[in-house]
Amino acid sequence: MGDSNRLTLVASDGGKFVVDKEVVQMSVLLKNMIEDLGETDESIPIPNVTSPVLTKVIEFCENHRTDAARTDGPNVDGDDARMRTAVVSDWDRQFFDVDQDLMFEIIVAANYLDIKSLVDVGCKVVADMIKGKSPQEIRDLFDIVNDFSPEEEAALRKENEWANDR
Amino acid sequence: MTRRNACDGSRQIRSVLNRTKPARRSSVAKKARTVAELLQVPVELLCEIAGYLKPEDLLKLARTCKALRQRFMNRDSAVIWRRARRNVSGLPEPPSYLSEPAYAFFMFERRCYGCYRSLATQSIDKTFWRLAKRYCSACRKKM
Repeated sequence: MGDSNRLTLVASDGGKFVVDKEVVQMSVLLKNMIEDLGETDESIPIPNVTSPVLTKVIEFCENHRTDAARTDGPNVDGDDARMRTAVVSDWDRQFFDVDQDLMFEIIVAANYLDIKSLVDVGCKVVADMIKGKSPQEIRDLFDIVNDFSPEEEAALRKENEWANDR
Repeated sequence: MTRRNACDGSRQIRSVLNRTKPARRSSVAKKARTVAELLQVPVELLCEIAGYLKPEDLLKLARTCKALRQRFMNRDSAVIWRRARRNVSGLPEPPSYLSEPAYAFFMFERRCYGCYRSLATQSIDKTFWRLAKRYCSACRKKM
């Protein structure tokens, strides 16, 4: 490879991606790995992520590389701080305008690779889809099968206690 | 969350990566999916998502299917409800005698505790704040 500023990532299906080190380092998992590894020409396998998903993840990181510093900020574990930083831009919305399988796979991959900004944006997008909807609307949206009997469903309205306390 | 491993070569890296959570179903296997994607996401992500919702949304989610009900109506999930409460500005802490879902139901679902019909559109709505219950006029007459 020769270029020390670029790294090769290998997806689970063997797809190879040459990416700027700066972009790769938005993943805390890979950042730590690169630090431990030092200078190397070895490619990095990402066995949990397929090529289509990795393509999207890299696309997001390329677009957000300038705000990458966020992952190193103080309060990354503070819930409140995180809540406020999860701003979903028009670009982000378009980025997640994909089929649901891919959308969830991107979020799961971001969680695995520990890319906080992508996890935050993805979760916010999903939450926005759920907000204000009825149970049936949520089922329709996510293909959730209603496995309650009509009697059980009618009783749900009255049952608002912890299930394991009953 | 940070997985920091002291490695001195890529062989260790490979083994570290392989040791973490197994890969999700391949895109081929997904064709025959029977379970919704939302139900497949790891619990920590479900918590993240819930962190952007309001308590009334959690009540709705908990009524969609058994799996999500089990997830949200579990005392171990109290932290999720607390996070959702923080998205409602000015909402007081629940009284000690109300569980998180019971508090969410009382505050956000305006239903009669007698007949469980919605009181949202009815003008007569008697709320007993100390009991944390509300009743429609018909049910109140029966009391």
